[in-house]
Amino acid sequence: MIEVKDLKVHFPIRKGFFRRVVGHVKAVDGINLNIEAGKTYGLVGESGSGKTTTGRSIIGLDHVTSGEILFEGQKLDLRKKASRDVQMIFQNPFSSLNPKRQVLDIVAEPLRNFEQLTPAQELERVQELMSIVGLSPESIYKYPHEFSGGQRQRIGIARAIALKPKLIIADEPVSALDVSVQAQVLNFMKEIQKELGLTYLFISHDLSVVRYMCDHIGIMYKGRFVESGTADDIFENPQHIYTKRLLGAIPSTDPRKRDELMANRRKVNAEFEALSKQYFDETGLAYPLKKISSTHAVAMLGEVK
Amino acid sequence: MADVLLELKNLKTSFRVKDDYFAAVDDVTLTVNKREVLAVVGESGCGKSALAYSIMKLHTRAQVEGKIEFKGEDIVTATPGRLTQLRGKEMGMIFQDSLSALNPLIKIGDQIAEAIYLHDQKISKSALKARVMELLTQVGIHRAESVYIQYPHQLSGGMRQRVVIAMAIANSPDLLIADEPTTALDVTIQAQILDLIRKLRDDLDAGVILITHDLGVVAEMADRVAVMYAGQIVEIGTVYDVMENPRHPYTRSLLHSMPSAIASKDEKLHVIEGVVPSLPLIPRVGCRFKDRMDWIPESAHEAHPTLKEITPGHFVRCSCYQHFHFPEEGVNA
Amino acid sequence: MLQFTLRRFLIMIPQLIVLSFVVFLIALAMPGDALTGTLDPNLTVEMLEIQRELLGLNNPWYVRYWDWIVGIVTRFDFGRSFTWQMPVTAIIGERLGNTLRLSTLTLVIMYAIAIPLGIISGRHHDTWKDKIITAYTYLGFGMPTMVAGLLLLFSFGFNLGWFPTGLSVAPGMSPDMGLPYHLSRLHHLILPALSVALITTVGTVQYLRGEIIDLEQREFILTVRAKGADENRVYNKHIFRNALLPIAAFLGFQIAFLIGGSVLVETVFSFPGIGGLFIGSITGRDFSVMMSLVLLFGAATIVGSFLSDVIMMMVDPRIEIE
Repeated sequence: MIEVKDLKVHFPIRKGFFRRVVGHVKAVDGINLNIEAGKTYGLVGESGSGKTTTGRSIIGLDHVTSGEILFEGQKLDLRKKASRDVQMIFQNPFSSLNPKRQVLDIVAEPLRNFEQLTPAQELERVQELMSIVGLSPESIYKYPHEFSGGQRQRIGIARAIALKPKLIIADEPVSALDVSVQAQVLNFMKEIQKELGLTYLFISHDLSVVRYMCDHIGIMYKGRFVESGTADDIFENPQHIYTKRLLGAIPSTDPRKRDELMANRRKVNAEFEALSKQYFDETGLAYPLKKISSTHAVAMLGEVK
Repeated sequence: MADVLLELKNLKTSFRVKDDYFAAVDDVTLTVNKREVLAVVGESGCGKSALAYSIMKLHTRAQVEGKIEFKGEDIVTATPGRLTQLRGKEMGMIFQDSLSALNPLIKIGDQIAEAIYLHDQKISKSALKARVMELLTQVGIHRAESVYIQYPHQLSGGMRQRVVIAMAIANSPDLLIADEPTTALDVTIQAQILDLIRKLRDDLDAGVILITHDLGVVAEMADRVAVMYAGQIVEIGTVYDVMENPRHPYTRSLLHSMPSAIASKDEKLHVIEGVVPSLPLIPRVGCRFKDRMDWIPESAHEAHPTLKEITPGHFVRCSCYQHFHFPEEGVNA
Repeated sequence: MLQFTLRRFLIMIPQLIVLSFVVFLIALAMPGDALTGTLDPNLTVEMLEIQRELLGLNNPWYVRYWDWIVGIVTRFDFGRSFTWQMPVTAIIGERLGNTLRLSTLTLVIMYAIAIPLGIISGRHHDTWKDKIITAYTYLGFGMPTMVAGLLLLFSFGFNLGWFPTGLSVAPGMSPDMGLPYHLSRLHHLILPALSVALITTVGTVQYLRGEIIDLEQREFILTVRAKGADENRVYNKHIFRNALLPIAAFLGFQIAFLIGGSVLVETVFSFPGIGGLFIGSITGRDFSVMMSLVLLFGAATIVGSFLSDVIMMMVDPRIEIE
């Protein structure tokens, strides 16, 4: 469905009187990924790992330095902004919707860009979209501030699915939401995925959400993948020390596991320090990925236990 | 449990919305002991931050009623002068968003130094600086010398949060209030910061009030837990009471809606119907959570719900917990 | 920091070139030329043509533009005023000093009013003090400077006779008289400066008030309170300092604005500054003076924004210099 080959996004660092380029921030430094149609691919990492830049460059919001993005076998023209088949859901439902515009205008915006509809047709489509996302058709004349966080995120989703896209890039779609609202949005994303046959690139730092949502997962660290595989590969059989560290940092809701978790964290941290040469090169970046099974790949030297 | 540090009794904090006052914290009674971590948990808009700020009377335009007794002294009636003596000296506050919690125009070192200087104006310049360096090291900042002269925006989120913590513990307070201290941070940094708070609790022998919406953080940190909804405590008890044997429908719903509560990916996450009511819309009579579980009959609720002790130290508000079940479960489940 | 200042300084060069070009084009579009004004009925058309040729007025426009610029840059030659029959630089130079003195005093009075009023209004917002101050600012927004000038002139100048009603110094005074001369100058400045300051300051008062109310809600102010600072310290040390930041940055523009905005008040007070000169040059069709003044006003704006950027960079550490 979508294939990303050796994607690099480098931002220049300028210094000095003539603003000469003295180096590059390698936000994304040569990643490969494949997403199967109808599946969810989770891109995981901490701030600065390049996961958001990856998503933004696929949709054309960030300039790609090199690499190829194939969409259904066709090369995506990276100079052209946003194809109608790829849409995005943003992290913050409070700032991603223009507060001065009615929901009708917000949701109809992509339709207006790509399709010539009469006002009546447009109204009908928007009302249909509103009912798909579970909001009342009358609410299209309201403004974003009249909705709760979860409802706003649904409006964002309505806008994203307006053109019946094939791929949706969801950049931390629930991290600004409370757990009960988060549950609402996640359930809903799963529902419409089935109904509309959507493919997701799900970008998140929250591993428990990723575990629930994703079929495949890639773990990013400083612009490179350290590990990729199915959700089971990553959660049941993590290989890279960074993956282990991330997994170890998730708090458990079981208060009796407290000491166990802390002991494990200490162990992983010690390993992180001690074995860093095995996992990171001299510049502190990850090695190229090596396949260790048909689905699982890890970036490390030496044999995998 | 001896060694009560802080006692709140029928605390009510109201804010003005248009021409009326509405209670964001309504009838909160609780105690915090020395060396104890009390977690206050709930979703945004449930009044947990307002509660945290009320304890230090930080809201300049709020109306605070009831009793806040800190080491035997009433805070509600304390004079402004007395409050400035207590704040920062006996009680320290850790804020959520470290970038907005620091003055963007003042160097890190000077901001920490202010916390010390305010309570010891005779301190010499060199002693002040030495103490700031010591604090920076204590919160795990290794290059203290360079951080001292940096501005807030030049540090990473994790480093800034350490600075905010250093400020809060500058005078070794007896009570530390942490308002969502790790929400803005990455998980690995979160683990480090939580570790630090635990360590400081031990070093300072302090009581900690930890405000959070993250039940994982609660399970890792808390000795006791208070669950808040719509300005009230709906359930309070030890961490084992609340996390392993949650009784109030709200507590159960929160735990149930977490992705980790689900056994299989094909299951749906539990959704709490409706939304947290905004301040003027909070129902003031009856069970405040009633509207969000409309499949439970009206008769299950008390007319005037109060916190009742169901096992020693474990309190639950409203009798509806005895009749609660999730909609997908049968009535007798 | 030096690097930033230098780079920002160099940006002014293209800005000034564009400005000069625009001014030149305006002059081109005007009817007549430098000789039209010196018309001597005894000169024949042929003689005028010879004059034109000699002065280069028949050259193509780009040659004339170049000559004009070279004149300004190398000889500081802005041409001659035909009404005054003097070099433009001499006329402007004398009056520019007056206008600069007037602007400086205006600026001082402006901030002397705005800072205390803004602070009181912001810190005690929604109290009677704030309401009185806000009422004053509305009055200021509603009243044109010229009306305020006339009112002051009428009451303190004509009726009470406390201040002179025109000129920049009492007749008969000369610089070698020392202190009395300077006092007389100051005396002449007060009314015009006050009338501009009283009106233009209200914007700053309102801005400062808004800024203080906004800052008071910010989390870092809560942090300061949580550290145990009392309200005086919260306001004087933290809120005040942060609130002044945008105002300090606006200083550069303010200066440019005052120099350009001196036109009306100088006319009302018959004050011999560049504002009055500008009006005079328009009514008298004194093109060389007019062009030079437009150039001056434009340049003041460019330099003002340069100053603002530099001040901003000095006071706000968040602006990265690298």
